Amino acid sequence: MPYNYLLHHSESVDPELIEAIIDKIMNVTGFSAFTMIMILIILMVSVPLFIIMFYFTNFKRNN
Amino acid sequence: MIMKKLSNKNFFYGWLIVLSLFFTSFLTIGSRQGFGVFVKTWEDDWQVTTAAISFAASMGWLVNGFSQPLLGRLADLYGARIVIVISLTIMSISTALISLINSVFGLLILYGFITAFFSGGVSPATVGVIVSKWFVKKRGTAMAIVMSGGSVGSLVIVPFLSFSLIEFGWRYSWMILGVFSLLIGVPLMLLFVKNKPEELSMLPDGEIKANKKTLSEKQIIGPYFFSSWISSLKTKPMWNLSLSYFVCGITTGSISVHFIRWALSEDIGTGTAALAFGILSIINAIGVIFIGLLSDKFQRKNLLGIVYLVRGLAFASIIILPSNYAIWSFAIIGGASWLATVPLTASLTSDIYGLKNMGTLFGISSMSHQIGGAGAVIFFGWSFTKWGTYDYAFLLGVITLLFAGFVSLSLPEKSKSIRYIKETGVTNNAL
Repeated sequence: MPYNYLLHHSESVDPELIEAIIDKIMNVTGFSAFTMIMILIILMVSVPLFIIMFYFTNFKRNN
Repeated sequence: MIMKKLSNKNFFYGWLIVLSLFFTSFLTIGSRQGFGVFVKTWEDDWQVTTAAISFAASMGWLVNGFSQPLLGRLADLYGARIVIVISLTIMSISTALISLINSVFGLLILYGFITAFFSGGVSPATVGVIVSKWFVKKRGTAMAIVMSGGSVGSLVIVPFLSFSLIEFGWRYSWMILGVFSLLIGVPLMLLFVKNKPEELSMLPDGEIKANKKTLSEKQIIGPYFFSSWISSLKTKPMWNLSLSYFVCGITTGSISVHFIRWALSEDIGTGTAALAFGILSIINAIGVIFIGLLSDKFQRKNLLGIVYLVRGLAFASIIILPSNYAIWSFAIIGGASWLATVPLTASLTSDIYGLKNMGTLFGISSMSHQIGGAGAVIFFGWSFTKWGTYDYAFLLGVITLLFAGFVSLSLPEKSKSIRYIKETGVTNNAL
């Protein structure tokens, strides 16, 4: 019944795929999960920080 | 050092808006893709099947599709900024609240309906309205940068959620993401994003007012700049764009669900598939910006056609090549064309139909994209069960992509797009 296949559908990442990706990252880097969280948080925060600095260095100064 | 270099240049404010919208795409697409990280954990915690959890996800896919023309219409009527801010706020709260649920029913309500519906308010249908008002000549590049935020977001947020799940558990992971989005994403939107350059006494593309009228001031009216969006549905380009975007949905939706299953059916390990998918994501982020840059120099319909034909080649390689080569050719060729359709389709919509109804019209194209994706997932699964191979499903992908390529190439861009129409001097309310 086709409906069953709709139930397997999601636009999100495949659970098996992400498990394999995480294993690969941990094997290659040798970092713990906590270290990886810190690195990724820095990446996540760096985007808005860059935007704010871009604003202050270019537009706030020139009003 | 970088900031010092950047501060020496005279940047147009529109680029700050592009960066802010890049971050919005980063948050929304990244967090929606992260859903898959928690499926196995929820199965164990709630003692439910994958099918029950996937039902919430598939409902989310469809609700998101149907919300886009609706929220796009609201963006056309009341301004995209307010729609994006409200949608992002509700999405963030809903994401944080997922940390409190104890059943699939809660997941269905919060993820399948609320988050999915309001993520339609932070989609290209609404974001594209703002970008198109701030940029005319560099519309393709600006749109591409915003869209690449989604690729970068999934490369950062999905691993973040995975590691956070290992370290803190799923409830804290959703809470952190929701609070982060609410406290950083929403204020950033409120502070920096404006609906149109006129609000800051500026002109699109940062052009300077002079005696001679600038491109943005010329008030060019395209032949399809209708006051009512319904009139657009009676024209060929709208169908060209929606049909080709429907095929885009077919091919991206099917791969997002069936790529790993195909790899396993061909005895390719999950580790190799993971690496290939990672390469696809990186090439995807670079490819979309490259195509965006090209689209400001060449005819957009030609690039859109080429992108679909290249993706068709990637699908064909899966059928023709041995699987251990096919996976890499698909990652590289397919990756280059994966997201590039979004800025091209959005830019063509605003070039041909103007800005008055852009949110509604691109929302309709996006809805067809989601319907195509949902249908393809069903077909791919059904065909694999029936024939024991994905070859026939991939063949359908090749045929539909050839169709989309030629449909895009047949768009009458030179006669209908404002990029190629000479100044008329007529005041145009639709622009």
